[in-house]
Amino acid sequence: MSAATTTKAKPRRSELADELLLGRPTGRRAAVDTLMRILVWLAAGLALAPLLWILVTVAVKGAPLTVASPPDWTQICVDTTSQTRATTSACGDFGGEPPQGYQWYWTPGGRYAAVGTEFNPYGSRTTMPTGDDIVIMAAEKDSGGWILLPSLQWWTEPLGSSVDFSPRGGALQAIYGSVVITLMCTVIAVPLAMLAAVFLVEYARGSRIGRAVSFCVDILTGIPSIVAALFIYALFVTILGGQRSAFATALALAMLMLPTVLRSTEEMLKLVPDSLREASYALGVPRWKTILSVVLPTARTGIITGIILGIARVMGETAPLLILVGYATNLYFDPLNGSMGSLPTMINAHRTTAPQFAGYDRVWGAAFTLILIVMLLNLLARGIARVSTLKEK
Amino acid sequence: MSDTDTSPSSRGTTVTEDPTSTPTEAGEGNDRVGLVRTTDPTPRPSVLAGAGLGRGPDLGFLASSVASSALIVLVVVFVGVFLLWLAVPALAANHANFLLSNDWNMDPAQLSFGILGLLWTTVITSVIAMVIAVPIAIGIALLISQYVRPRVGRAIGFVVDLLAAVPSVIFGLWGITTFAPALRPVSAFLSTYLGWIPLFSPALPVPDGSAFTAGIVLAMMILPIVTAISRDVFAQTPREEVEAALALGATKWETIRLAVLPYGRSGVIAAAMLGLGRALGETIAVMIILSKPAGGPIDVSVFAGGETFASTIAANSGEFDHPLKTGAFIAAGLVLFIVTFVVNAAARVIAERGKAKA
Repeated sequence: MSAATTTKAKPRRSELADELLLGRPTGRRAAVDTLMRILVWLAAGLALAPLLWILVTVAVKGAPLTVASPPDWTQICVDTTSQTRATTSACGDFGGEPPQGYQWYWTPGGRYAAVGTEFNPYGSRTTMPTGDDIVIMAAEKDSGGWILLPSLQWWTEPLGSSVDFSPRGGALQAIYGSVVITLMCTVIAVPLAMLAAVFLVEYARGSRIGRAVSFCVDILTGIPSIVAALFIYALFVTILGGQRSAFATALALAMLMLPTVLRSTEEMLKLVPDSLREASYALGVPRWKTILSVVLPTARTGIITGIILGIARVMGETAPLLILVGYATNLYFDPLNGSMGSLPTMINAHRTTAPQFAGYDRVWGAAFTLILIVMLLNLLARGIARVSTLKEK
Repeated sequence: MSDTDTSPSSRGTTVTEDPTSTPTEAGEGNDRVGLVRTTDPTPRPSVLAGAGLGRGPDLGFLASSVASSALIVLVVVFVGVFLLWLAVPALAANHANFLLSNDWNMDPAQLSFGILGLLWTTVITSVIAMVIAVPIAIGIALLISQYVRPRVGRAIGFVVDLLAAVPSVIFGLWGITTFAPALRPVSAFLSTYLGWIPLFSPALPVPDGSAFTAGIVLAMMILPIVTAISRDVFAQTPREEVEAALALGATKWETIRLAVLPYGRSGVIAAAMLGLGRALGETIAVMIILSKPAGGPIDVSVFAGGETFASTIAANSGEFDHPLKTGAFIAAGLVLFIVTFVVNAAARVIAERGKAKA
């Protein structure tokens, strides 16, 4: 009994025993074996490194902006001869006139508002901003990079007319656009994908028509997103005379989502045991009812996993959005006409902002938001798959 | 007695248990499900063929599922047809040789455009991506399927799949702002010591947005798909062949070389070609990274910029205001469609041949 327990803990015993009985390979053979073992682990490291690098970069640069907002203006003391930042005490009282050689500056908030002896020269001014803008005094010269006030404006306000050097404005228009376009795409793609999967598995399994459809799905899987976008542009805009719009984008994205959902649904339907179908037929249940009330519910969790992963995939697609819908910084609600913001195009539209501008940080804010949504969807899909009722053999 | 659970034969099956064929992965099998069949492809017993087939709602359901499938077939056919339809007028008005020139003059009055430069940059970035990604992907696939326990293998596979979840626009943004500056020493080293090869001829100062940078970022993007298919193929290596090699006293690596790699060869080639298809069509990451606009003389160096088919279409989407201009970009898109179609179809054929042989 105890022997059995030990072998259970070490399932590789037979291989170990081989090596012990026959003697370990030595010399060149052993060296090559070790080298290869190192190389395959190195390969895994090479895949892990960029993933971590990307995730950390995006989180460090983008996360702060999504939970806090920089002050509109930061009041700092500047040494006018060297044009560098001076200690606040050099300028005296905040309200008062600074001594000769020093001047109060108001600089837009954000990462580079005031770091060390540097200050952000872009959009800085020597007159006090008016209105109800938030002004924060940078108390100390070495007060760190970010000057931030806790705020959820990122999630509640559209970007609006904020200019490059202003830290104002959120990403609501982009988040809204991404969600709406993805929802439209899902509504179009999922029923088609599920019906086609039912056709492939329940009606045409192994038949010549089934193989032809399956081949077309393979081709559809391989179509680059830019080609799908051009196709919808050719069909919907040029030939049918439609507008570049969120709806057109959703059509192109549906082309990309369809094969993903179809294949995962198909795999799940194939896993449903025939005995379940036979039992249903034996009870006299018609075929369509068997599919709807026996086959599909059994495969439910796997299908939902596929749909969520399909959503995660199209959320990050950019090419169709570039070609088929204009980017907007304000909230627009008409999916059939005009522009609409989205997270990928928000990144693309603002990435040319000079890095010194306070507004540059919103590029990374959008990147962080996008990667957060996509990763959460992926984890959700894994979670659902884990509780799946159907297990592959 | 619970001893039956740990009998040698059942222990054997726990070891051979395919570490990847869990429902966890089944969902996101975008491309590989067509390549690695996890279930028996033989038709179901004919008893079921007509079973339960009634009238009324049954026919409606059948009709709608047939219609959905027909729509997919139509879309695939129409992609080629419509792109060709809109490209022909522009091709007719083209003053340059479409395949052999590198002009890119979008003035509708004297339209002249050629794809040679686009083709070169597309191919060279994809080749760089393949050269880097395929060996690494094979290594990871071997690690997952041969070296570690299924549980660890699943964890590694999950991490690699997360790399596929990163949106391509973020690959581009990260690639040009963070990765490219870090890559400067490598580019400088290669162009200094291998500069006598035209491919590595120095373009000083080496721009961050070079084909070299784009190729490496593409490698990261296609790595997950090549890994996923390869590991499924390796995991299906017949257990007897592995055990035969081990019984002969082969080391782990010798076993892999004798049994696993020959068995998985066609599958890995198919996986690499699917990755190539991805790399050829990748748009936004390449567009963000590459800097030089289309046209002008072709620079064969990987350290020069350039534009690929996909990136030039996306970068100029604001210029789709004249049918002929649009047609020129659609013509480029058509070439891209044909190239990816051929590559993907070849991948499927190789996979089918391999399956038939196995």
